[in-house]
Amino acid sequence: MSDEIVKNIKHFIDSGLLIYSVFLMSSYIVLGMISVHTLKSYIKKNKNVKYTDLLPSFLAPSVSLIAPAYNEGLTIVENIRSLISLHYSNFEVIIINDGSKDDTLDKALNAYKMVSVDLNINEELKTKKIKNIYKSTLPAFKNLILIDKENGGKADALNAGINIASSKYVACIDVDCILEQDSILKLVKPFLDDKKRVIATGGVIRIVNSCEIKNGGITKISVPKSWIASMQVLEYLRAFLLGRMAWGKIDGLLLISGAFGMFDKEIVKLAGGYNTKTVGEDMELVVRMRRYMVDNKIPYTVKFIPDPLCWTEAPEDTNILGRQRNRWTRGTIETLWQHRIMFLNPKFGIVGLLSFPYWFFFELLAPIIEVLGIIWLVTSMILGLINWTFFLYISVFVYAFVILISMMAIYAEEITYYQYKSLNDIFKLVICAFLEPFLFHPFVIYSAIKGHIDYFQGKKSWGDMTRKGLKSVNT
Amino acid sequence: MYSYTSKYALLNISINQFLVIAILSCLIMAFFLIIFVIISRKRKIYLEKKVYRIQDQVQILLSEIIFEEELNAENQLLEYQILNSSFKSEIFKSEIVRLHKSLQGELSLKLEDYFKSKKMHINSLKKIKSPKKYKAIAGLEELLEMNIDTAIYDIHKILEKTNDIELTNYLICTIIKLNPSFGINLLLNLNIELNDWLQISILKILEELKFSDIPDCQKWMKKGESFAIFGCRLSSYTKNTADIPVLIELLNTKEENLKIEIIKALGIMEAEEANEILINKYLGESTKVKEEILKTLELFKKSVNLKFFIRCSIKDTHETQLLALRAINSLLNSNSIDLNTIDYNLKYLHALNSSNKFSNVG
Repeated sequence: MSDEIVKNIKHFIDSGLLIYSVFLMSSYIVLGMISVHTLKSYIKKNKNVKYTDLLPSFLAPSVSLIAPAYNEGLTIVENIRSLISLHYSNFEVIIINDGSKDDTLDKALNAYKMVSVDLNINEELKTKKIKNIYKSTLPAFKNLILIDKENGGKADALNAGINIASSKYVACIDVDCILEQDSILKLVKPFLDDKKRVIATGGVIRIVNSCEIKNGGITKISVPKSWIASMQVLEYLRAFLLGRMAWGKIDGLLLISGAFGMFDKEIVKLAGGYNTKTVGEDMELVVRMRRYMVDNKIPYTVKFIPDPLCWTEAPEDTNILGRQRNRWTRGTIETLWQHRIMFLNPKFGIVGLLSFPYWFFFELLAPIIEVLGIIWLVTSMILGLINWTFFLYISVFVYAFVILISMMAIYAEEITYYQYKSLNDIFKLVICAFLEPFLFHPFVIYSAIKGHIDYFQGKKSWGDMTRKGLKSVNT
Repeated sequence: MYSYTSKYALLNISINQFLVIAILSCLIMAFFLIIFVIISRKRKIYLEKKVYRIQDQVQILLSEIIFEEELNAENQLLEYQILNSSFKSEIFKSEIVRLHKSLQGELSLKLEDYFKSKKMHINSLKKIKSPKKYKAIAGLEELLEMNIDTAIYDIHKILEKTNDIELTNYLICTIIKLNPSFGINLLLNLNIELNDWLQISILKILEELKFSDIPDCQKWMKKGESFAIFGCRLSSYTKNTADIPVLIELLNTKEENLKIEIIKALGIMEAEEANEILINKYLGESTKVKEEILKTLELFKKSVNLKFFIRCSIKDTHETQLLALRAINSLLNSNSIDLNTIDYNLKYLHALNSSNKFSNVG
């Protein structure tokens, strides 16, 4: 009798795990296929677009580039220079010194001959106290503004920037990212050619580790030397080219990367600006903006373009990587919980019926289910319930499937912008695909589980995210 | 028991077989994807080298075509070889088009004549009739760049047949560039949505061609909001003062986006006769419209507006207050205001200040 009960429980759990896996894998395949198809269409469509037509046009919308800076003394001068030199005719750069403890402020003020100005601020979004506002006296940097404020975190700094911004659109970026020269042109175009009101656009974020940088621009792109960073390259390719591309196509995107995204300032303000109480402020803002538009019955869309626009440094240290993934998990939980009313709510269309459930079941719960699956596996082994043949086959199948998805991501990269010119780089990514399930994935799962635990323990901080800094090649 | 076991055993085997098939499928697909990537990469490298070699040859040929009266024997042979290879002739054509973009005057005309004399435009005309949209667009680019105005008839025919919005936009831009007068009038008769990107493209073409013989503003207003907005932008572009009374009359429109464009156009055209009307309209308008009114009044630089700006800087939303303060600053820094007026308005400001609290005034 008890054998019967155990067998039934086993059958129930096995079936549950199997159904979950089938749905998860099917979603990856479907998203992957939608993405590849959309990528091919986009590449063809984009070939003939003359972005530079926008440069001299009086219709070019104004854009404010907002970049919070905290302890960026090593690279702030170069970072500002690279932002100022972007190809666009009608933009301002707003740097927010968010209570840095190093010489970030002094370096910026000296390098750009900045002086204190009396600028009237619209404090529609509440922020920590602003100590001073500076503008450059150099004609070449007349569109540069620097806000010095009390430390309040990234979201608070972004809100301060939005308050000051005088443009129609705001591009929120990480100050140490490298932007492609035409990134503003490419990100602003969807705002101009869609029938519906576009409230946010985002592009692909790439990893800059081991790339050669000269004068604020990337001169040679390579897969990072470090294996941790290389695996993140593959991970980002999957996430952006196979994931977000598909969600963007069906207008179900919940997240525009905090490293670089452009937003309709009016809607950002009406939605209340960035939430300073969450560590996933980028996702939370997009979800809240979507909610605002639906609640006010305004037709809208969020766009995603596959152009590699922004290059960022990936953590190569496991501690920092762990903290990053921990924060991402906590941010996801906070956002999904805060906006739980959208879950399976037809009022929110694709976002409520597809995106939200997907994020809940397959982004948030996946690490937990995976760990529970491992616990169940060990339990089954102890109780002698394992069908070893079946277990071997299913494990190999999952491994083969994961490799397939990674190869799809490499294929997607090849048919779009094939940034990694060397075949050696491709081979390195292929090796990463084979090793990742054993070396990288378990660490990511561990960090995600820790994120869950920290969330329920009430942890709110970002943690120290020290970066090495992007250094130019000396010639 | 036996039948259950064998049935279960049978099922078990088939699941395992299914998994084996699934594993093999995944691995084979992954393998093929990587092989595709490797082959694609090698092909790109090979093609790149091949294209560079051909481009080098083509550069020599093009130099002689542009700067010499006749080709020498060697280059005549080269020309013959290139034109008789579809791959090489496509590269040759794209090099001609690329070079044409950076040439002006006689040299560009010479290149255009050469393009036509070698009947390359016929190939471009064939391309635009292709059912593949992006091939058609590539053909349009070639015809456009090489000023093949004889293609207008074919392009117009395609425009009448197509329902594709993207292709329509390219077709209309091509026609406008080849024959702006015909193109603009044709545009007026279309039932399409003029998104901002298309408007920017058209305006750029008109600016490059220095073409300003645009149908008057009223005609654009009859076609729907996007056309009306474009009409305002065209007025801004041409600065046709005859449009001002029409625009002023249209300020009564209920469409906010259109109203904003009208106000912007009045500002760019320095339509000072609209000054009083804009001030009178101000109170009943939304914040966005008020902001545009203030920006436009700032452009007029009229000293009589100072009192109005002062009132707005105190009694309105943050955004409009800031714009009003900016307008005051701009007016005080210009030479269009005398000391007496400043003195009078300072007293007015003081009187208002005693009865109101300022916020965020720098």
